[in-house]
Formats: sequence, structure tokens, C-alpha cells
Amino acid sequence: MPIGHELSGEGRAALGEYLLLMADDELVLGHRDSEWCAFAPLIEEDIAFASIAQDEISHAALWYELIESMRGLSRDQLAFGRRESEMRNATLLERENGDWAFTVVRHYVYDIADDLRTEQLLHANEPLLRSVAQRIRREERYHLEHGAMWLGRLAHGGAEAHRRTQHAVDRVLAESRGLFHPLAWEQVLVKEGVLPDRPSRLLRAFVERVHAALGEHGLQIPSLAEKRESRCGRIGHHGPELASLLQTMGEVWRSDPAATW
Amino acid sequence: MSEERLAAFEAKIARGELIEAGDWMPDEYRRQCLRLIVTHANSELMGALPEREWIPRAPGLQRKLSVLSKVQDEIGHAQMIYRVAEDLGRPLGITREHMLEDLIAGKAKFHNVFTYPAPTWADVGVIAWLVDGAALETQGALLRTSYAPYARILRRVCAEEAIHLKHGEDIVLTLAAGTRVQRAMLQDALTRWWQPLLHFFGPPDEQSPNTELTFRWRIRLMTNEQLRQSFLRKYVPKVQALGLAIPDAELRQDPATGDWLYGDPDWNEFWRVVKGGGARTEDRLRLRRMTREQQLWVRDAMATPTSAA
Repeated sequence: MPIGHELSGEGRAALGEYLLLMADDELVLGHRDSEWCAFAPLIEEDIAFASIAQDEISHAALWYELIESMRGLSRDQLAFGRRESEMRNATLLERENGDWAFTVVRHYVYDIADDLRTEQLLHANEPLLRSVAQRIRREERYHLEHGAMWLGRLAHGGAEAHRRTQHAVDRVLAESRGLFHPLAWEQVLVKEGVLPDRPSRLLRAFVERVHAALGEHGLQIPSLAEKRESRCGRIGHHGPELASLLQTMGEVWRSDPAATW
Repeated sequence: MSEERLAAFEAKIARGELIEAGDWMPDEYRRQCLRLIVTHANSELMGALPEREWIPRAPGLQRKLSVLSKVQDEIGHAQMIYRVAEDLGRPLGITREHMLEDLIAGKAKFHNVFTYPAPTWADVGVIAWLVDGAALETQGALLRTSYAPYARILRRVCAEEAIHLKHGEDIVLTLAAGTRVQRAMLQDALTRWWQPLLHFFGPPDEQSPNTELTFRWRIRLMTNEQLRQSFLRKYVPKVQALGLAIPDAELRQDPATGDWLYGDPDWNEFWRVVKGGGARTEDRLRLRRMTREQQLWVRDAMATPTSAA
């Protein structure tokens, strides 16, 4: 049975939106992660981070596969064939990699958000959502460990590393609220019993987790809860970084979308 | 005393026994192994660069994952092989840092084949199928090298290279069965890579330096020409079966020996590239220098004692 077959049309549409949002987050961050391949600070880290990139891109593929039947599009059409305004990823994730501190802090903060999101999915009424979330969480545990290790090493790694880490925290937190932007269709998911609560309401738990994770390393935490973002990726408002990312990512595929590559 | 040691060492090699990192070995054996192994590690590291350019552009999620995983393997090979080199280099005071510094300063060798550009997606397929196929010939022959730690690492390297070959072959077969544009892209890539592939195994045996000792001590077991022929026997028929044209009018098989006779692949070009004159040699070294420089602060942070963490 395709996912969401027992939901109303409105319910299926809402579920499709949520799956797309998660898939796009994972794809865009996985793509950014993969850009480090061969250029990470140590050979050992090249290997570790390439694994993380593969995990994220594979998670995107898992979510896209669930949407295939709902939208009648293949996972590659979903990943490579949509315009910038159709992408639902949070803007934080499309930003260019910057330095290793920004990469580490962004990833760690995102991993915390993803941990909360997939934990909520363990209580979804759809068995497929639960099983994909379980599978993803088995790998994400290691991403969290990896992020915590690096955050500690950088925050306590001398003056320059600390300064760069603080700068990364300021930049990442200024935009991280966008991960939990409230969206109209969330209420439908709750009403139709797909999710126990609106995903945007995970924001409070997210803020607490982020404060605890960063605060223990003596980093100053900007007041994330009141921040207003200029752009919201969740409704298709993206920056030039995403346009450029999509252009690169689709360069070959879009040269002939009907061809087999 | 040292002559007795040398005689015992050579007798051991002659009996087909293997040398371990802690065993006594002539300094020259250590240096020859180190040179071979560091060059191999450098080549794995530099070899990641042409293909990594295509990770962000790979067409399709599965291709993106497989190119990423393939490049990750190559860097993983570099890491394992540098570890073998570190053990060999320790008594000489040579560390991985020295090896990397020599590499980016242009003082150490890496394989010629990684100095060429990879301008299209078809190059990714040709590299993974044929360059990795060529590498599997040389590395497969080294599985029986007398230096045991290297032989052990090569077992894993070869197992992974065999998967890369399948990955490359799949890209090539897909393009060969594809549109007119895809087939033309594939033919162009093959035309570009054919000469570097002949160069891959090194110059004809009579022009190859440093061979006598490396064979006597069983560091290497097959000559350049033996390896090249082994490659041509396997791959010429496969390439021709795809309907691709090999850019060598003189290429033909000797019916008596089965050897492939090929036109002069311009050995002057080979030596020019060996001396650092490859089309992308300087660009790729500059890229390595730049990223290494940019990440220096991270390595400094890693070296900071983390009592507070």
C-alpha cells in the first residue's frame, strides 16, 4: 500500500509536504557535506565526513522514495528536477560551507533538530514513517557523537579555534529557528492523526538542547527564540546559494533529464 | 656481520618469506619500499581530486552516492598506505607530515595519470573503469611483494578497487547504451585517456630505472611491459565490444604471442609529466597547498591539550 492511502486528499498533501521538507533538508546538507570530500582538515576526517555525507544523501533518498508514489515522480526527478522556489529545505542548510567551525556547528545544530524530528516520527501512526525514522536514527547517533567531539575540540582548541567557533554559533543560531518554522499544513497532520503534535512545536525542546550542548563549552548563545528571519526556505524563499547549488547539482542530469545516466 | 645479515636477508627473500616492519632489512630495501609506498599513497590522495570535482555534479542520487563512496575509498587507501609508510619511515625520522609536505612542495612523486583533467561525466566512468582497472593490474601484482605490511593492506585496496571497476563499468555501459550525445561524450573521454593508460604502467622495460634491486628483493614482481600487456589483453576486447574506437591505428594483436602491439604513445610526453609538467599537476598541488593552509588552524586546535573539554 502506498503511504498515506487512508488519509484524506488534504492529509496526503500535507504528508507529502512534510516528507519533501525532510528530504530537501537532508539532500542540501548532504550535498554541502560532500563538498568537503578530499579537503577536510585531516585525512581521517575526510573519510568520516564522506560517510556522514553519504548517510544524509541516503536519508534524502529514503524520504523521496516515499513521495514517489504520492506525486508520480521518481526520486531523481524530485531531487534534481525542481526549481529553487519548489525546494523546502531550511535556508541555514543551503549556506556555503565556510570554514570547518561553521560546518561543524551547523551540522551539530541540525543533527539536534533532526534527532527531535525523527524521535517524534517514532510516534507516527504510519508504520513506514516509523521504520524509516528508526533506520535514520541508527546512523544519526554517530553524527551527534561526531559533532559533540568536534565542537569540544574546537571550542577548547585555543584562541583562534574558539573565536571561529563562537562566530559560527552566532551565524548558525541566527538562522536555525527556520528549521521549525510553523506551517499551515502541520495542523492537518495532527488532525488526521499522522503526528502526535505539530513539528514546529519542537522548537522549545530544540532551543533547550542547543543551549545545553553549546553552553557547556563556554560559548555565548544569542537569544535564538526571538530571532526573526528574513527568508524562509520552508515556503520556497531561498538565497542565491541554493540557486547555485541546484545549478551545479543538476548540471549533467538536466542536460538531458530523459536520458538514463 | 652486516654482510652475513644481508646474505641471510636475501636467502629469506629467495625462500619466498616475507619481511615484517620490525625485521632487519638493508637500508636500501627500506628506501626502495618507502619510495614505492609513499608514491602509491600520494597517488591515492591526488587521485581523489579529478573525480571529486564530479561529486557535486553526479547525475542522480545513486551516482552521487557511488562517486562519493569511491573517492572516500581512495582517500581511505591513502590513509592506510601512509600508515604503512610511517612504520617504514620511522627509523629514518620520516613522518606522514614530512610526506605530505614533500608532496605539496612538488618534491615527491605521484602518478602521472592523476595530472590529467576530467572535463566530462564520461571521464568519471572511464577513470573508474580503466584507470582503476590499470591500478588493479599493478596492485594485484604487488599482493605477492616481499614487504608483508604493504601486501596485507593491498588485499583490502584491491578488493575495493574491484568494486570501483564495477562502478566505472556501469557508468560506461550506461553511456554506451545511451543517447547519441552520451556515446560521443564517452568516445571523447576514451580518446583522451587512452595514451595516459598506456603510460600508466611506465616506460618500456629497457628504459625503466631502479628495477634490478626491486626485482631481486621481490619488492616488485612484474615488469612494466608485462603489466601493460595483462591490461591490454583484458580491456582491449571489452572496449571494442562497446563499439568504441581506440585511438591507435597501429594497435593489433600478435597472433603468435597474444601480445598487443601498439603505436608509440609519445614517451617524451610521459617524461615531461613525470618531471611535473602535467596539464593539472601545478593546479592540483596548489589546491592541496591551499586547503592544507586553510585548515592549519584546525590541526593546531586538535594539537591543543583538551583538559577543559
